Amino acid sequence: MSSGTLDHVCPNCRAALKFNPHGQNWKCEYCRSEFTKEDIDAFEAKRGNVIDEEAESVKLEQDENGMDIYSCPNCGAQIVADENTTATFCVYCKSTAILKNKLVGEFNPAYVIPFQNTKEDAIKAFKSIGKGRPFMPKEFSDQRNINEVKGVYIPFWVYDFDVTGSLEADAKRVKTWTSGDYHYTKTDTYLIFRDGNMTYYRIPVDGSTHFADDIMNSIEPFDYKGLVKFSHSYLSGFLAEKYDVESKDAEPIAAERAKTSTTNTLKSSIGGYTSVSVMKENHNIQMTKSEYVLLPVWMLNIKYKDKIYPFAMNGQTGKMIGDIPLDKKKAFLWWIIILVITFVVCTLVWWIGGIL
Amino acid sequence: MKKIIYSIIIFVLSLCFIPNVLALDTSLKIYDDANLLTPEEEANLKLKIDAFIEEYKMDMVLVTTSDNSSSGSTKHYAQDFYDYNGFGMGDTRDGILILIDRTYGYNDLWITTTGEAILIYDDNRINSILDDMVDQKPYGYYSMFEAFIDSSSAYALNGVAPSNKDYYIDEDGNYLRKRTFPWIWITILTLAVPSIVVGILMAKNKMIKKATQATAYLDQNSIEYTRKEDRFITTHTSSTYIPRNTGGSGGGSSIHSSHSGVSHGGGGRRC
Repeated sequence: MSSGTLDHVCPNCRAALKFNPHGQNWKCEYCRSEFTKEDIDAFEAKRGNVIDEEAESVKLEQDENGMDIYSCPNCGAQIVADENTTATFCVYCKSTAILKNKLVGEFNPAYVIPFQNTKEDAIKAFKSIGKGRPFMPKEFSDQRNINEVKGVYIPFWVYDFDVTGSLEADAKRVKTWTSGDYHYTKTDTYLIFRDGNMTYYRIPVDGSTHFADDIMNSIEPFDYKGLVKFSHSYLSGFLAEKYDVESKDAEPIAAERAKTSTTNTLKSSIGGYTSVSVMKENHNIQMTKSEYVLLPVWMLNIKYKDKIYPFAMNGQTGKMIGDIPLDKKKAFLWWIIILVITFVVCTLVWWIGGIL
Repeated sequence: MKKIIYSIIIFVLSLCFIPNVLALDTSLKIYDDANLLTPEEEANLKLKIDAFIEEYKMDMVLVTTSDNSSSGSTKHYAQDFYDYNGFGMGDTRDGILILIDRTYGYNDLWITTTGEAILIYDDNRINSILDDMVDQKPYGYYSMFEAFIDSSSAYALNGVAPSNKDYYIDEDGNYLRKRTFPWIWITILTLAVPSIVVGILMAKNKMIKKATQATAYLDQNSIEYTRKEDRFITTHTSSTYIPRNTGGSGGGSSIHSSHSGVSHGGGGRRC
């Protein structure tokens, strides 16, 4: 095993073995055997297919575009991958190639949330995306528009923070009443102080420049109870990337979110006023832990009227997101219909009110 | 034969139920029970009344009495006289009646209006008519009635009193405020409701949003306040005067309900 790529094979028949999201186990598509994590680990240990940190001559060569070229352990064909790819497929024999030299040292993820749903689940979720969205063009969620679906383990940095926040706000309480011939307005002004400490756990930041941050934000949250210690066995059958955004560069993004939430939390403890305006806010933020994790995401490319719409589904929770084009004609029609109904109802209410 | 018997029975029965006053000839218009006018005066006034009725399609009745005990008061005598004798023109029984009541030894005047006449003769106009009549008192009852007819005609010519422009008489003769269609509010609602609904539904198509908060990752049990202070700084009280009866909410005619349940306008004077 000096090819530098890694694949998991069935202990029974030696065919390629893939991770099965629904059973959270490994299933051989040929002999239908199923294996648990323990079975795989025991077999791999015997076979000697373990990550070897000293593996050096793993990469065969680099082509003129800076792409790395590997050889498929299954059929010997060339596998081309960019420098951030950690798991891919052999285009010829479709077997998974886990590029183990990219999963060592600082690139060895601490945890992974294994995929909980399959490609078919993602397609199904996309096809029903129009539910409750009347302004989606009818044909948009047609399966034929799905150009590409891939399950990717996306590198994330997750951060724990201890935040000390302080807030100074101007608050007003307005009371009005009528007495005799006069209407009174009483305004009490207060200066509010709130200081507090709070802890955030595992605020995620997408560690790959390949994936849009707002898309990754939108499929949040992941349920971190599903985190398991990283093992490359989970990657079989999926694509995976390694981070190309350093932890120190991603951290401020998470810190900013923690600060905003801290201010909002402190502000929410101010009650009983007519208006509150924050005058001063201060944060002392301490990052207590950062971890490198892989999180499962189904990426879908939707081609509709010659435009590509990126969609993504949380590979754990099944939350499907993406921007749907607007059926403007339908939206306008609805506007007109609701307008007419509103007018008729208002008129009727006024008219009935006159009779009573 | 049967038919004729039935007709006779119905006629006899109906006689029993109709109050005696119905026997009154409503075309006379002048009922001088207190004998305040001479036959010639009555004839002259009748000509003027007929002209008024012809011109304004409203009834006009002149009544004098020296005994209002059947109704109990000047006002009610006037109203009952009008209602129970079936005066008035059209479905709303439009018309105006003047009563000079001598029961208490004074000239108690009462004008009662019915139907559309309520709109024409608001309180101000009724007072003005009464003023005109009182002015003519030294010249006798004929002059007082003449002043009544002239003054009433002048106002009828002007039509509905300005103070009653927001009021109308419904098919039952009730004096009611006009309901104007609230165009501004309905326009605002009619535009706002579909815009909000369509806006909300449109927003559902946009699911990709940048996250700015981290509330989902905040450990709620870890929140610990080290300072919670609400410091009172100042208070300020302002007052505004509320003007009373703003914007013509009341109509110009006072309404008096009669024994028969019909709405009447009207007013009176003692002289």
